[in-house]
Amino acid sequence: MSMNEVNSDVAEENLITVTGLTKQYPEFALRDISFQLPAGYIMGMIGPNGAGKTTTIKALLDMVRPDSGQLTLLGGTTPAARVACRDDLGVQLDGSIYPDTWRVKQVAAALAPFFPQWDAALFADLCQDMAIPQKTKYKDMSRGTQVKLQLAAALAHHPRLLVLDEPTAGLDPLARDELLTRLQDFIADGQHSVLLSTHLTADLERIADYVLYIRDGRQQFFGHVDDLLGAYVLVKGGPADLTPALQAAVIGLRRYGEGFTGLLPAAAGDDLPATVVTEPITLEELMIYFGRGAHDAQRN
Amino acid sequence: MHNAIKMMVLDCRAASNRNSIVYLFLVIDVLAVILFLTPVGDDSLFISFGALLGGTAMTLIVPFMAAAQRGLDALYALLPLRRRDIVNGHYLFGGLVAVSMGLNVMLLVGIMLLLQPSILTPEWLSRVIRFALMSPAMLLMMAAVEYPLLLRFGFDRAPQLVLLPLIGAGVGTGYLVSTGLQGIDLVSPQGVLAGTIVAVVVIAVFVVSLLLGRRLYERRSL
Repeated sequence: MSMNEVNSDVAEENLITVTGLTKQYPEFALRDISFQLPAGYIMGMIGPNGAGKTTTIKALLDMVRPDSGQLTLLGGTTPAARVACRDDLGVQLDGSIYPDTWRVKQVAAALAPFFPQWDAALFADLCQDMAIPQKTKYKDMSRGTQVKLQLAAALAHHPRLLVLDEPTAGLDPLARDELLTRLQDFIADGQHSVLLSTHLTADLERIADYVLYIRDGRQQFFGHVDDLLGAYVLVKGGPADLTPALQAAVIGLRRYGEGFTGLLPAAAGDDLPATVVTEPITLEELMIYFGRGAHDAQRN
Repeated sequence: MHNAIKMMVLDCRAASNRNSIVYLFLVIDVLAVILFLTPVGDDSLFISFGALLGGTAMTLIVPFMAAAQRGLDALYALLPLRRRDIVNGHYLFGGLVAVSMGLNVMLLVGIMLLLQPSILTPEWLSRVIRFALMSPAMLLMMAAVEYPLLLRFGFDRAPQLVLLPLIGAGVGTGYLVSTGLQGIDLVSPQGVLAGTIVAVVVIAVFVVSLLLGRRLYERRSL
């Protein structure tokens, strides 16, 4: 399977379609990002800091104007059409978005008039479930609680699509587990989807169906998580096992005293000598070795 | 228009302005009335006018300061609002602040007249009308100059760029309106005409500024 291709047999409605998204800044460029998110799935966006994940989300939300490319969000292909479907979109952004002095009550009072589907009872329940203190000012809330408040507000108007930027940042393991369970419940009916950007790839492995990996503004891969994990193996061997052919094929080669490790396309793993060990990879390893491979390529 | 009103309300909430401007007016009004009852007399109205204008001018930019400090432009981008609705809301907020200042001056005049009806002379009335006309005019011109800059750059990127024209626009408008109306009896038909011309010019500049602000905010990366 191609690294930038999603299973083509899916006939579901895409809640997000991005094609050839490009945005140039003086010191950074996002280049040719393309992906789709069908209804009923969770997609994770991964990559190091400054890779372009947040810029991609901002482009989807029309907070920045792309230089080129097509964006379709909930069927909306123009900025005006995308704004018109905001009621079906719940968003949590990385960073503060409410005034310092607001409490839970003020957040509800401020947002409710804008969303026809705002559900005050649901918002109150979510705040209670997530243990968000009612009387604490936003500025005095912990980072994790601020994220939870944004999430509660994002869910309170019954969106079809959730776009979350680093939602697990600042959450303790229990809260993170509850969030991941909530997201799985959210998509369970096959009509809802989640796009989330995170550094915590273990979380993604648990819940994500698709993954988009961006590095230095370029799309490294996009596809189904299982397909991606099945497409590569981790190889380990002694110094003598590292033939020139193998060295050329290995992605993100790491040498050490006793031998080497690296990533190899799964198909290439069949012809290896018996002394070379192959193991399944994790998403985190995939990200690290692809990153290392890109870094090595730049150095060479 | 409905969205612009909702945005204006959000501006008030975001800036906690609904309370702070009321408190500002209340404190200055009480001080003005206390001074009115001292030998300072009705000059207290004109002293308080300066304080009201300074405080209200700062209120004009509070939503932009709050937006810069807490990333509220991102919040606005998540709402079902077109960018032009957001800009319209900010300008409505500016208009509301200017009108509130004018209404507060009228309230203060009413209280003083109730306390001491003898102060009402044609000359005093003309002077009061000049101030009542000047204050919204100055505030609207300040907003007209400032808002496009704030919408283009944001308060965080250019506080000096924002504050200097703010003061300049206020002082300049005050001087022009004051000298333009000098010697004109504002209670006469000639005065009404002069006042109308001032109002039309100020509103026209405000509307042009609104159209410019829309274009600038439309292109801004948030």
